[in-house]
Amino acid sequence: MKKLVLVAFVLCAALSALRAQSQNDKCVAYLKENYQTPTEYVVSKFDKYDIVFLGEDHRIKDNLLMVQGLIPELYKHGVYNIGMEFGACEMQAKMDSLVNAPEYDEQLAREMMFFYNTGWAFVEYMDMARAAWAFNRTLPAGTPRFRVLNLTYQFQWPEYSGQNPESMRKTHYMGNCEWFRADRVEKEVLDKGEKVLILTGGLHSYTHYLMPHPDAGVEGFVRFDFGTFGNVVYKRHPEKTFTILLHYPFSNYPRKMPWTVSPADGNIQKIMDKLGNKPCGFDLMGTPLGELRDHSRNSIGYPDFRMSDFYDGYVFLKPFNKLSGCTVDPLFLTKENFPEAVKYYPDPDWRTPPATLDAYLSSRVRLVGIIWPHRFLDA
Amino acid sequence: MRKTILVLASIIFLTISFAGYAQMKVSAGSLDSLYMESKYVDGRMIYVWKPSNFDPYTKYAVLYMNDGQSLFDGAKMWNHSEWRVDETMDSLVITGKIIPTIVVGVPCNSKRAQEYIGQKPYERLSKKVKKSVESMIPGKTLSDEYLKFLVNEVKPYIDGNYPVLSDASHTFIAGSSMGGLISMYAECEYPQVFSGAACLSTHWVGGWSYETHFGTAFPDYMDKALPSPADHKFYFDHGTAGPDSNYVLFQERVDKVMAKHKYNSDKCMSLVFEGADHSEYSWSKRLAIPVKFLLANPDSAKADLHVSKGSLESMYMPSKYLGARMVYVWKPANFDPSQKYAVLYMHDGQMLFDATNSWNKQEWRVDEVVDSLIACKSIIPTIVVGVANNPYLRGQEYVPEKALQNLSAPIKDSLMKLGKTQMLSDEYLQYLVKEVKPYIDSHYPVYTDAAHTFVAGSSMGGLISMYAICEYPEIFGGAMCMSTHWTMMDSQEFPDGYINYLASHLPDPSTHKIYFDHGDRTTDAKYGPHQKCADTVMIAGGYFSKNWKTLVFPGDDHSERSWSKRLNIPLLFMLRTSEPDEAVLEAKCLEYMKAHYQTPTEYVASKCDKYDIVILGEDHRIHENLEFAQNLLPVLYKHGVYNFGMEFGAQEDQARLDSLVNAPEYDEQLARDIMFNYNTGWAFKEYMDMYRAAWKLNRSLPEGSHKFRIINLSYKFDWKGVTKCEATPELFDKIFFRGNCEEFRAQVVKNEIIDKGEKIAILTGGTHAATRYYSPRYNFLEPDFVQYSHDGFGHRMLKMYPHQVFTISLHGMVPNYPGRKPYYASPANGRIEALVAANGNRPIGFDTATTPMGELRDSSYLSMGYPDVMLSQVCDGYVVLKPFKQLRGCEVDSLFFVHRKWKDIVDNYPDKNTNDVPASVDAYMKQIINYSNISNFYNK
Repeated sequence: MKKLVLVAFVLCAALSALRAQSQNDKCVAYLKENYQTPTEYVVSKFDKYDIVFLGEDHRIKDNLLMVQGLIPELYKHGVYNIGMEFGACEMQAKMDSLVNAPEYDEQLAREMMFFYNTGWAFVEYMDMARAAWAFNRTLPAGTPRFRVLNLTYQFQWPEYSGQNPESMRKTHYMGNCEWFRADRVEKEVLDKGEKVLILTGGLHSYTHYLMPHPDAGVEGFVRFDFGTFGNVVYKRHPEKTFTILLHYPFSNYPRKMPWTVSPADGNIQKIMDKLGNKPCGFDLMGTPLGELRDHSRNSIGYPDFRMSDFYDGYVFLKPFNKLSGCTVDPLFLTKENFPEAVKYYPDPDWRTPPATLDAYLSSRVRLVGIIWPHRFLDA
Repeated sequence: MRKTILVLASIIFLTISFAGYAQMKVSAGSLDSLYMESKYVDGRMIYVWKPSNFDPYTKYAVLYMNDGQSLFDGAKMWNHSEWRVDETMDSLVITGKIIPTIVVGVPCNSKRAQEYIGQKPYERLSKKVKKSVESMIPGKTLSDEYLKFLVNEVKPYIDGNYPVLSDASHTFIAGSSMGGLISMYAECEYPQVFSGAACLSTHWVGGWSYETHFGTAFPDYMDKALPSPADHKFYFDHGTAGPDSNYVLFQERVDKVMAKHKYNSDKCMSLVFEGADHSEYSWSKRLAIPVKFLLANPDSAKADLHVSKGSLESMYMPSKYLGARMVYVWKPANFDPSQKYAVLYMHDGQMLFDATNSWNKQEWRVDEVVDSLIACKSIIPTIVVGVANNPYLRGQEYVPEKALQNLSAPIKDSLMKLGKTQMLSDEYLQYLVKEVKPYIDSHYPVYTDAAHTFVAGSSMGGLISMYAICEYPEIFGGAMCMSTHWTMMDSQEFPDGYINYLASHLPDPSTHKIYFDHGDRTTDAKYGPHQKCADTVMIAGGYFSKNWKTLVFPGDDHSERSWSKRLNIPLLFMLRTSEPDEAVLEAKCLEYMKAHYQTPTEYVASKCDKYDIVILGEDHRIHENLEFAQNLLPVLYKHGVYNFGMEFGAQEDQARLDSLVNAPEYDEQLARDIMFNYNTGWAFKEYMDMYRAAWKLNRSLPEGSHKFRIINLSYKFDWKGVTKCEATPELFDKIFFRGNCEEFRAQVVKNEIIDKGEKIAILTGGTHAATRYYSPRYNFLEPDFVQYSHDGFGHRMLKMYPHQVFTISLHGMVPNYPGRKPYYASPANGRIEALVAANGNRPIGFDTATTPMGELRDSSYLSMGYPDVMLSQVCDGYVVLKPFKQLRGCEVDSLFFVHRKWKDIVDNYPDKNTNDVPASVDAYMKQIINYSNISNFYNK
């Protein structure tokens, strides 16, 4: 009897592997047939959509460089805005002036980022302004300028007293930042008849996907959030919105190890490997890649969760082990601005504010130095 | 000679008065004039008056009036006097005091006396009297011909050309002097045509003097001819000046005949107006009385609204934009003309104050609610201006006009078919802003700026409130839109139109406040999705918790009763004072507690009389609560409640439990086993002793009587194999293998109690007991960082049985607002304890809805997402047994684990996914004893 069960198990496992293999082959064939570079892919989405989200795992240099490189192509396709989660709207006038100045003012870029987040000392984020400036320098006079749109505002972290509505209302005094960003996109982009590429954290870029939370008190024991930046924009403008996942690792299903897993149960990387790990962009909706199953945390509450349930499109730049962390700007934190940096240290309840400047700097270095999969294991 | 003069005077009067009255004008409503030929009498003009809210799709009653030339336009009359029929009738119709009515004025001509005297009574006159009037009535009267003209020619024309109800019960006739005689005669001769006659200053005498009176001819005729009082009415009156002074004796004779024929006061009204003379002026002054007597609208509001708090002034306010209507100005009880007041303009004014006069016998209780809030200084001093709706044009006046400019052709066609062709909301707002408000501003001591001017309404009144603040942001600083009627004709075009309009017209959020709410029953059940879209617009427009609120009230339906219950919430949001006068409120609370004192037992029992499901929300393991519940059982039994539901207990053991409480001997160990089977850590004697109390009660009952039951509401959760870990749906699926326990409990109540036609009192944890109160939880992805849970046991019960559930909080500490110290807070910021102490610490039960106690505010965890949450929002009733300091924890049963295997204890150890399993029985017992020590927790 035991043998019979074992045989049945082996057969099932083999069948499952064969099925995955077959699905992967379909994906490979599809990608060979429909290959697009990341740039081609992202830009092509603007033929149909006005708002394209790029959902990133923060601090990956390759993502930032790719987006910087997109600017001229975006411009050619009539897209004059890149929306950045990391940036305060209070600095918008300065940002507009910076990207159109005759000389690039690196210190101003640094100060603007510091104003938004005293810990975001990553060169490639600040260099988004430099890329826009460099591109604008190439434009003939009188033509529309490329803009870096700061989507957020400065949170009043000194007012923060814990995770409760009262505290959050004080900290996020201009309103919930997810809604604030959505409003800003409408006012600064859609109302002007323009288009925008938005770089933001994975969670904020969910559009049709609703984030699940196990909850014993509701039917099915799962409740879904529908208040991310992307959810709000999508709800208001479903026909105009497209969201693309920038290859990043997923949190594993609760109670399963390791803590993070490769998307689509690792099949995306396997497929890319078969294609020589060529950077590419592809649709998930309506393609064999969208049919790939995933059993990560994202699948909670979704029976038979597929990649197309998660995002509309996908951009693969490199396998995880080839991705690099951002560069820490050594001039970002100084003895002079350290007190302010601590005062405005974000999320102080779950990240203890650093005691010294050195501790702060080394924590920045640690953040970018630990790349997949260890950064999550280390979290 | 005197008679000749009289005849000549009549001819001159009629000639003059007829000249040009074809071009008669009315100041209210509209008038159609037409010339009508007749085969019975001389042809003449006919005037058809329609009210200003005339709607061709409404069916109208008809009041035929004699002397039609003198009814509407005094300017055309020889004496410049008129009945003011248009003004009076318009006011009565619009305000719904009489049924919708049109008036047909039939003028007299030079043969007035012949047409009006009535042939059959005339025949009863003596020769002498006949002779004395023969110059006016030569030979034969023409009254039968006149009535044929009315009945066979005028009425068929009216019935065929106007939207009227042609039956007798909606057809009336009126006139004065001889017009009164012919009115009486018409109803007697044509009882199948007319059901009511108004006879003003009825000319019972022949000439202008007593000597030529008609004697008993008319009473005698009436004695023979009066129709049955079952479906007929008569109105008579006269003054005491001029010719009217001659009518007294004769009217008395008529009154006797009426009484003889059993015309009681409902069927016959006979009035004398001291000082009134025989003139149109006099008749105009009292016309409303007979009209209301004959045409009273039994279901409509009346001008004479009564308030139980403060005072009310009613006025009929004309308009150049719309039909005139009643405006009610309510002033609080402590109104002080030297003080300045904010103004709250409210739509549907006739529904606000007095249920006895509203069509559905419901009201908003505006006077009670606003007065109470002002008295406690919870809101700034405010007067309320209620503007009555026009029942026939309410939709057209309240639907935001500019929001529906792009309706599709099919929808427009449908509206056209409904007769809703013309939107009037812009006109209505002009009336409000340019006519009513200036009047209020100049006649009352009020602040006139937007910061102190608010507008409120429900349903379509919610729509027009939203429209008002968008169209006139410089006038209104706040809008309260309750049960906003986003839906119409099942077309998405309406909500889309409203919400798009809102998006593009929202006023400046820094200077305006907007409130929305809705329930989830009846019409309100449709509003949720549309309100969510509106909420998105509000957020996009820069509105958040400070200046905008959208609330959902589960269990509330689309009625004044629901709006009145929650009216305090938007009022506090809009009008609250920075510092409410807590001292005043506390004094009122104390007064209330003393005046309405009930012991906890009396209180709960009284609620069981009214509700099938009474939930007691406890903070677990408090000895006094359980002791109270045990003692309650015999009282419940007396009140017809034979079941007590317990959260702590498994359905799997129900049969054993039923057997236990009906056994000849009480089996303490079985009780212990039943509790252990549900929860291996619930070793509290008082919970198990609930079974003992039921057993005792059943032992005391006569044989064959209904036995009392303890109902285990839960099931045995499967904790076996669970370890401390992050939750997943699969884990919950395993533990709660019979489904969501809140739903399970609700189904037990349904199956075991309600479906059997029984009642139940239930003891459960405070969070499960909430019915209307949504439990808040922090969530950074929610617009205001709060998410609300509305799937608890109590919520489900209320949804299933909206009118049968009452929830009572048993006095217990509540968690404090996150981040605040101490960890636990005394409810209502400690004021319940203070008030009960001031009342001698007597155990007490009291209502929270509509009582001062319900207005006590709380700033504990309960207030998360509910700024200034009040006790009435959290529970329906409250029971205090003892102050916190005197409460003690339940007694731990030392035998609970005796003879039990450690494996069994551990296997079913609850909440193992979040809690560490103790290492031994001793450690477990220590943990339980520690938990039972409530002072440890309350002092945390």
